[in-house]
Amino acid sequence: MSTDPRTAEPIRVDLSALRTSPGMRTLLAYERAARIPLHRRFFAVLAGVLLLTAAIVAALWWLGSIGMLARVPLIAVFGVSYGVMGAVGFVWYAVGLSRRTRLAMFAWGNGWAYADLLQGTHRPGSAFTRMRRSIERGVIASEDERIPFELGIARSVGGRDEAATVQRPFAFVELPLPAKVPHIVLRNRRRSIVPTLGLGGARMDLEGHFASTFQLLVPEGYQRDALYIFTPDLMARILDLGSGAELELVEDRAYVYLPGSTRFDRPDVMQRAVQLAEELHRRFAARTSSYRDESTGPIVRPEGVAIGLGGQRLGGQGVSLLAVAGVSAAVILSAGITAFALFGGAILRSGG
Amino acid sequence: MHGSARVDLNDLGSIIGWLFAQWWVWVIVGVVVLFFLVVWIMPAAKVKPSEAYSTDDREANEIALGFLQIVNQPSGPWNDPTASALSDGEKKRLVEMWGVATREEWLSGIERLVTVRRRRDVWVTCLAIRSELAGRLGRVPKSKEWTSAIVEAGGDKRDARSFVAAIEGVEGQVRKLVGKDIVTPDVYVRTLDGYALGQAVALATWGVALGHADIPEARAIIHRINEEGRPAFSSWADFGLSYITGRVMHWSDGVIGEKTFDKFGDGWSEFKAAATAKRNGPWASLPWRIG
Repeated sequence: MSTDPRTAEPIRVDLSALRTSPGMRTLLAYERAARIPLHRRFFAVLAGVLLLTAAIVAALWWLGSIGMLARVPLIAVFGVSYGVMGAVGFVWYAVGLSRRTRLAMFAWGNGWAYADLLQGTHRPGSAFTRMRRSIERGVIASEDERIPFELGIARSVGGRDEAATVQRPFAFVELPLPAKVPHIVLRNRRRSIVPTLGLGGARMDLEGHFASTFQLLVPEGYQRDALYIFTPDLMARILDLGSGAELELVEDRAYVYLPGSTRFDRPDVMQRAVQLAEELHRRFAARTSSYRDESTGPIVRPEGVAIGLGGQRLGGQGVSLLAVAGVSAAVILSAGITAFALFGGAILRSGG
Repeated sequence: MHGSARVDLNDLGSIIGWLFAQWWVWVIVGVVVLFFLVVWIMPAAKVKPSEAYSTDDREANEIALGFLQIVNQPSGPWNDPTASALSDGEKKRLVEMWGVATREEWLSGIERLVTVRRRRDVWVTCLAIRSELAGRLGRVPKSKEWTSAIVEAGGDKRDARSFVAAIEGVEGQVRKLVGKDIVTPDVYVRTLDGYALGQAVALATWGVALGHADIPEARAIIHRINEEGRPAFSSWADFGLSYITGRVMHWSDGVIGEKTFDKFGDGWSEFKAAATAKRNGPWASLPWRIG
């Protein structure tokens, strides 16, 4: 029998697994349980780094014995640099593994599903769809009716024959909605994760102090629907999660986006995220379950489609500000080099 | 004096002349020519059904809906509801890939494919607009007509253009590779559901191999998939085109590049085999409408 999420008891989450550091035994057990490939396991990576270090030391010793290092000391600098890079990389990897182990223990302890790495999830959120290829790490999924959610960290990766999409890594919390709703983005003016530049639809400025942090992007004709769903108290709760939070509603999913540096393995962060997921689930259930789009005729709404075509998606793909900044910098730099190559001599001569 | 000593390496004519005089050069040339002749003359491989199961009754017709997925996996002969060719390793991979370790997960996986069908509302709506427009015009709408209709319905012009180009591009590739005699000009993509439905039938047979169900239960599930899915299509060609296009669109997220079709549209050769009578293809002999 299904439980009404609005009347259910608040869920109790056991955070103890996030408060203790995992020991080596737990770490190795996690690697087995999460089916991490052998070449990416702790001891395999450690062996790789040690082999690299040994090879560098041996090579430097040999080069020193034949007098090469004395003649070209830069080789020693390169060798030591590679060794340091290997050591730093290993520490970075080990810290990430330890954090994901804690997350897994936390998820399994609460009866939730956990995946170390997911690919090809095809989530409908704008931040996901614009990435050609993405991976998600440390994904926790709860199917509990009182708090159904998925959370993790997503990042764009390149393929064999294609570069990665320019998109900063981001953390996300995905919530299912009881009904399909128009595509709405609550854009964070200070630090936007969803690339909204070039996205179509209307920009709605909010009232009060939310106006300085958020802006609503809504398909034309759906402004009233957006105000019905995005109440001031809901936005206040999003702000509680941190100044970098952003929200998107698309199809029958809600996404809370957070900066990629979000540490879900910290008990306070996880507690806030889970509380927010629970609260948003309740609020969205109340605000969207009875939502009906009455703006379009029957032709553009085939069977199973609840929202008119104009409201399903904000038009366009959205362009990353990072990409724009990168391209602009490259163009300016090229123009500068070209100008200097053409007129640099004359400028230098005239100067002195 | 050794033969090669007479070759002047600074003279191309001398090198060619020397090569012509060598027996092993003629052997290599002969083998290469023979290989291409055999490939050219040899008839394409026939579709082999399982002799243990029927190929021409209602049950065969229903399982034929999963032909492309069953053969592409491959999990056995197309009419084998037990997916008998799956090795232990392949079964393990299927369980991981589809998340069907238990009977409940297997059943809910099929349910999701039959009901949700990997649908995306924007794509469903744009294809419904095309279908409605075709009904009004009495022919397949041109790109401009379809794009305009999407924009009129409230869609974004740039998105509409890229979606129309993607669907028509894949459609054109399938028609070219499978043959205009099979995917005739009046057959066009009206839905992408074919991919999920074909997968659902295959998943039903894999469930027998994984020990989640027996043959009668798998047959009953396949019967239900056919009852619910088949009315949306008019022919095997219509279904096959929907399957391939749905597969390409799903895995590429609708972003079609130069290599996208090569990557995800590889099922076209099975489509051609299934629809060719000479190759014993079941789609060529079984009627689309089940009586």
